Amino acid sequence: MQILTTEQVLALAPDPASVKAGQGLANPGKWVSLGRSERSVWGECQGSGKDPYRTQADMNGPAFHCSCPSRKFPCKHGLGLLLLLAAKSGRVAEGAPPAWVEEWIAKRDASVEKKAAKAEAEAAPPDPETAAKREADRTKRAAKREDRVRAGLAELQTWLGDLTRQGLAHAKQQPAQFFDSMAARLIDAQAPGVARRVREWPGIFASGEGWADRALAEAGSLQWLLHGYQRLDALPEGMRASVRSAIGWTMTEQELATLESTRDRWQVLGQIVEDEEKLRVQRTWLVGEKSRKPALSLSFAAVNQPLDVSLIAGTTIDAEVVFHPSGAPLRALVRERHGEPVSLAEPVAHASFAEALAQTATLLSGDPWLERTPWVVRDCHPLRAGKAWLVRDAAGAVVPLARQFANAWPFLAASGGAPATVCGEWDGRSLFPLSIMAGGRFIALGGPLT
Amino acid sequence: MSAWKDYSTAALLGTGKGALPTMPSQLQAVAGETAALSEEARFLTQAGALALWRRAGWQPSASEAEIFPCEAETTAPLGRASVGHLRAMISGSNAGVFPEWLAEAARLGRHLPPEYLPALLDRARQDRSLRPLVLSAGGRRALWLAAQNPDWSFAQSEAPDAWETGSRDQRVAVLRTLRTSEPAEARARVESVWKTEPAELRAAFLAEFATRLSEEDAPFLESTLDDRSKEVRRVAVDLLARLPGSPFVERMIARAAPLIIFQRGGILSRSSLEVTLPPDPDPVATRDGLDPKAFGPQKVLGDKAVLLVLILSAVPLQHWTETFGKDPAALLKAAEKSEFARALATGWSWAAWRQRDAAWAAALLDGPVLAHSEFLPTGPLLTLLPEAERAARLTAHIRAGAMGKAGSDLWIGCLTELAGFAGRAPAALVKEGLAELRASVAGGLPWHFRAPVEAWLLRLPAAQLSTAATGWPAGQEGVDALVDLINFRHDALTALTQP
Repeated sequence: MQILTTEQVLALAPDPASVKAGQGLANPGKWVSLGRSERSVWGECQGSGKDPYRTQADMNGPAFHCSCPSRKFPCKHGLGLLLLLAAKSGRVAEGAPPAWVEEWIAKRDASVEKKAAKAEAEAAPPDPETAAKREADRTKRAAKREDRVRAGLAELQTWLGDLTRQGLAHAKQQPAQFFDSMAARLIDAQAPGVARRVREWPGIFASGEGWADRALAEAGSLQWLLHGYQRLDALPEGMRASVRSAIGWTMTEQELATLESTRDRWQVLGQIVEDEEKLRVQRTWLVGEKSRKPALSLSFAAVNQPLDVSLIAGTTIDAEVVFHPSGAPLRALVRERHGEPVSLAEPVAHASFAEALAQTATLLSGDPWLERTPWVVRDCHPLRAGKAWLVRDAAGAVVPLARQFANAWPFLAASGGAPATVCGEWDGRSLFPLSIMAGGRFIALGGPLT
Repeated sequence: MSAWKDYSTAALLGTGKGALPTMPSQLQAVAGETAALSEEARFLTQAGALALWRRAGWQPSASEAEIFPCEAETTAPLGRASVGHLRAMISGSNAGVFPEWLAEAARLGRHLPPEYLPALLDRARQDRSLRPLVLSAGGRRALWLAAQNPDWSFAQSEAPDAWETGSRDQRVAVLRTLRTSEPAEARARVESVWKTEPAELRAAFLAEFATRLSEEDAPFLESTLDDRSKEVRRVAVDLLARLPGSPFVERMIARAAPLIIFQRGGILSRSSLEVTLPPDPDPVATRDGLDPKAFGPQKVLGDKAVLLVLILSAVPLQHWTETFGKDPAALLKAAEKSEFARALATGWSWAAWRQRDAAWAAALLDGPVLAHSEFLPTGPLLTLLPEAERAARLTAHIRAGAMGKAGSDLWIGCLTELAGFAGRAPAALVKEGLAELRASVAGGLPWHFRAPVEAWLLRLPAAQLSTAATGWPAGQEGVDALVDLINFRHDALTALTQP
């Protein structure tokens, strides 16, 4: 079976409190029973109640299930179980799963089958009458949304014009409410992508030196998005998809299912979780070993709810990946996996920042609204420049590290002055490292280290 | 590129405020047909094109700063399980195990994963005792890294000028180190700054003289008896009382000699001690710290009895055994009937502590007379005994039920004693101690009593950890955490020995 490392397990934790609680349970003494099979691991953990909690994990996923009342996912018992397995696999004997594990696994398999059957049923041609009705409903809904978006964007154009006429210095004085209410109107107009960008304006104003440059660039970018929407029909297909996705249209899984997938050995190189309003967003960056294509897997979760835990930074998976249509396809869905993840050996990397910048320029030419692009560059060194940090490539070129990157010292410590491969997000002015490969070790730096 | 600057300035002020910049001619084509747009939209269209152009064409700068790589480690990296333990301790669970674990990692030739060194060096910056441990377990990388951050400069050894310019704690640390190697030089340094330092610092400096205290310190200590600060005078008296050849002690002997007379017993009567209380202190006696209110407001000992205790505490115990030709046990027995028996035992206990006198300590522990331990600013006398005797006495003591209720003074005292054995406690002692501890926490352990228990559990001999983890009352508040600590310590130490 696939045994995750301690770091990998901790990456699954929904919050720091769960990490701590999970570590406390990574102790055979806490468990009444423990076992594992080729596919699953299980244990009974004595909690405060009369009966022990039944905790289990399906390593195809991994997926978790526990009889405890926690709403966190995975709960501390699930984390503790996998941490225990990571640290002391010898204490978790292989054996036949008990009935309660068999049942859950069977249920999981059944639900996968059911989903497949449903998808098949939907894909199957319905009778002509139903099909026509469904189609008509869909067209009606879509047209209604177009109307709303058009009206919302027209309002945004006016708002943006007023803001520009009065100047950014004036806009900076406005309360967050000023931007939030415009964002809220855009949500009502079913244009969530634009709404999110408008909501981030106060953050740009507060971002320190150069804020006016960034605010103007953002205003210009929005202006081009408005142009793009007006001329949608004149745009090439990929660019059209990029405009629509930047405004907020998304693809359903069924729609994606019709698209062609790319099978490759995908390296999971970096992961970062960010808090948005009432939502956690996890970005996972992959690079194909054969295709050398980058891909971005997104996972969204309400606070305390599970993020997708199936992609583990520092591993390589053999999988089919479907890219969302775009002028610069990055966002992707991992559709089907073959075999188990293996430890990442050698990241697919650029030799210099110049190469990474060239790739960024190419991606921007396909989708000018990309907020960040992935960089994987080998032979890098972190450098300190006063209070700020830089990173230098083998050619001697330097780029700034992101101000908000908290792990610069661990980066330096792990590099030990030797060249390291850096994987990070480039936002057009600074690099935010998500992981490094130094001395043959993969070290995730995208979140807190403990 | 100045065009962007023009756009950014115009945007800051607002497009309604004056003439707007124009696109550089080579870029006009990319902005497309903008004639039909409003002024603001045209401005933003052009600015957006420029911004994208700038972003796509962003150029890195160059640096030739020299990089000095760290030498390769000669020790082995930690195993996977140990990294888990490290993370747990950094995030605060069972952090009490940290010092021992770090020392053990270094001893076993392991080094820590470098990405955790910044967090550990930060911790060592706060906690001085961790510094040498983090540096030795951190391997070469720790020194290499620390050299690059002024916050971690402690790694370059205590700076030599810390004595002049350092913080209070740094200066005290410099002095402590110097007292160990060159006590006279250390004394000279303190003398040279004595007049200008505040009272609190003078007292702290003086307290460091306890390290390698000798008769040579006596003249300076004697002079500090005139210090303005009461605390400084208290420290000076305490130090002088440990110097049997000092004029201070001679004065105390002279005061003590007439106060106690040994009456040899006859056929029908036991030997006894006849005690005369000292007179009111004259100015010289007051200067020597003889203050009838030394123990604060209390109703146990009278003013004169307090003076008796203070005098006895500064007289070499040898004086009594030699003068009366009796061993400590005989003297205590003779004291039993005296009205001031407990005052005598108190003064002698204090003296035994100051003079590290094991024979007197044993006699006082056995003796028929109890000291007023509440007035003694000392540790328990048991600690003065040789380890084997101490263990035997403590075992018997605990077996007799001396620990009592969780949180009682005796309970805390016993735990402190147990902790004093570090890893060398005999198995029988550990067994008795654990049995009593388990019994005393049968109803739970309030969190504010955890510290002494943890201090002992952290010093249990490693070989006894696996048995120590069993047999605790289940489901009691605070007890699970103790079992967890024992298990964690056991696992963490064991894992260090594995690849």
